[in-house]
Amino acid sequence: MPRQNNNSYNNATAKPKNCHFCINNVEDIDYKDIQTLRRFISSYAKIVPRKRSGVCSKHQRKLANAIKRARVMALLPFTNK
Amino acid sequence: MVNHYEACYLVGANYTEEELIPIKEKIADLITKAGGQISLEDSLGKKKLSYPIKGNHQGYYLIYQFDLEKDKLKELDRNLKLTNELLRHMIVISNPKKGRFVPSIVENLTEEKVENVKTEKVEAKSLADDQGKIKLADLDEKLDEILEGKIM
Repeated sequence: MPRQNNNSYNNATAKPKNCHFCINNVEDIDYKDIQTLRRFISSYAKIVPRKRSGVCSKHQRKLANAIKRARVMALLPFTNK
Repeated sequence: MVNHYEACYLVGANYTEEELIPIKEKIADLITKAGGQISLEDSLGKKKLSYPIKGNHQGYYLIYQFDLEKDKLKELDRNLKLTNELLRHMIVISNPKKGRFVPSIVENLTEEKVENVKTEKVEAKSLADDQGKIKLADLDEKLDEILEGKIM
């Protein structure tokens, strides 16, 4: 009896693209754009992993840089107690 | 090598808006003295800080965009650091065409794009018309040939 394959990696259907920056065609993420950056930090002000946010790896790298810059400029908190 | 930079600096709210003007001039002076050419002056306005800095809970975010020699950047960075009025500053390489917080440039870009699209459409239309005419003429000729051939 053939085993049923439930592994999502082997699915022939393509995954829908749900990276917020790919969809909106954003090449450079601005660290002063706090409204969008806020969507990608948790309630403790940690950077949300891309597993949760669905951001692609290219943009996650840029996003992390932008969030860290915003923290230095006190636009975003380092931590929320 | 000349690069386009964007400097964002933070002034504490213990200064009033009128006192900001000489500070702005001072920063502009620093940039021009280092050999930079200021292309844009902007502000994010008065904002609440995410954490207090030197007892300040609010501050003004001000922005300068400028072209500067790569070698002079360190000097400018040091001078900004030595400016007591500033709480924080950050200099970042910026692409002037992609700046999202530059309303004037963004508007110009969108207008240009719209115009480009329009012209392209017009050109496409005229091309299509020409092709249609050519095709019709060709068809007529072919029909004539066929008809003559059949009659003959």
